[in-house]
Amino acid sequence: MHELTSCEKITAALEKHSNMVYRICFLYLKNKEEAEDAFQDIFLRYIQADMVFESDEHEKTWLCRVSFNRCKDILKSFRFRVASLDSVPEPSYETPSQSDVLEAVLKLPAKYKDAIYLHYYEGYTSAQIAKMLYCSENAVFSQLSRGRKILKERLGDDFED
Amino acid sequence: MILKIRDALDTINPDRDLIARTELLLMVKTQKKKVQIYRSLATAASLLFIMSVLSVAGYGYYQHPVNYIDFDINPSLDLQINAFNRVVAVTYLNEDAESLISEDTLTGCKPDEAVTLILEAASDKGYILDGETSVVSLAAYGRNEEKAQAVLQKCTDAVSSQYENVAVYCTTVSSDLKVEAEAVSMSAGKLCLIKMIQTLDATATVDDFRDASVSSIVHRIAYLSSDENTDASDDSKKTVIPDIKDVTSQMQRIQEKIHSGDEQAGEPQSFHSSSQHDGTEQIDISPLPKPSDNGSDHSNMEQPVPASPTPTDNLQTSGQDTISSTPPYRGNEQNNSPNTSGQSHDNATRNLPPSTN
Repeated sequence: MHELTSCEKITAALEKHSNMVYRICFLYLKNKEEAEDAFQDIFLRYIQADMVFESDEHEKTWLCRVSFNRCKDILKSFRFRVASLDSVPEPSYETPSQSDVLEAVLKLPAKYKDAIYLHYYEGYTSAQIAKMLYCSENAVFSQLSRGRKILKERLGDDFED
Repeated sequence: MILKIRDALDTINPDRDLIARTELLLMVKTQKKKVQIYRSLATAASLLFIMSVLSVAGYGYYQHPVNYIDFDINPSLDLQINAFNRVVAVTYLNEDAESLISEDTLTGCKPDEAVTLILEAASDKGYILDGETSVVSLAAYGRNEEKAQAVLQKCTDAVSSQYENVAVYCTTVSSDLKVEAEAVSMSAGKLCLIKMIQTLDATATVDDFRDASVSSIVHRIAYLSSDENTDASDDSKKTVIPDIKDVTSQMQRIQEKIHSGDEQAGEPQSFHSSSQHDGTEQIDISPLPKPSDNGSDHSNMEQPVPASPTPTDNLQTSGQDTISSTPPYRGNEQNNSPNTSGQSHDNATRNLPPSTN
């Protein structure tokens, strides 16, 4: 198999995973500037790690895991905690419903947000999420259940299972 | 609901500009990483090269001899000593020396340790016998004469402290004499002594004494320098050879005697040597008339270098036929094998006029 050069590898990775990485960053950081910084930082780590992935899925899982960890690190950092978020422009939504759903998801606690995002958006099963987040499947079920409960409370009738 | 969440999250997408900027950033970082790798490799290669050069230079410096100690009983060998005062190589000057001790045993030792090891081996192989005084010649050569002298002194002290029945003739030699000794495959110390003989006996050649032991050469010098040698009848030529405790001092006296005689005759000596031996126990090699300045310090042995024939000249002009002139000594017929009988110092000594005691 043709071995990709560094440039090709970068281009391919950005093409395939940029949306997912940016989405995770934005979900966590709720801030476009911070999300962009984190986005670049994550791909920098991807290049520096120079990992050999078994498959695209493996690569995606790795990036997902790194994205979560990086965002959590940023959230814990002093710089992020003192920064004002009020002036940051919100993304534009096509419908008011989308805005409400997104806002509700963004406001979920981080541990529920991971499970909700991975399950409802990326389509991972509970077992896969458990493996990815290094927790038990029951914990994932629990997180999904509590996340859904919170979303129901916030979205009311709009949220249906 | 899944669709609602998906639709909501689908609205979050990175700008094309962000992707382009990130791609550019990663490319630059990758290139920098490559440059760093190449730089690291270049640095590592440079360091490796420098280390290699330093190692080779260091090894070369370590292996480079700066001082030489010629050891001679007879077996004769030349110890090459580096700047760290370690023996780095041994040159065997005759076959006896090769069978005496291996180079591996001596390499890496300090010179005084090496000399002690050689003496132990010589003692084991019968070159040094209990109850008899053997003479060892130690000749030092080095560009730095002081250092060579210091090395020589340590070796001499080591021998003197461990072997009561071994007398040491120690001398530092000039580069010319060292080269000359190498040319005739002989220790410089022995060549010094042979030259002393040649000043006393013009018919003597280097080859006459090539295989002679140092003891026999010293006794020969003692005999030739005695007054009885020239004046007495054959019976009275019996030279008294007492214990030789301080050969260097004795040789110096003889040399001074020769020198004073030559000065009177207007023929200065070609031989020169030096010694730092203390000479605490002054026992003459009888019958040696003491020179007028006997009590003076013998440390300064540098004699004026004369215009007399060089040893090479002697080799060219002296013939075997002339050796039998006074007294009957045949150095080239001597057997230099170890003396195991304990009868005399060696065959060369046997050829000397019989001792009166």
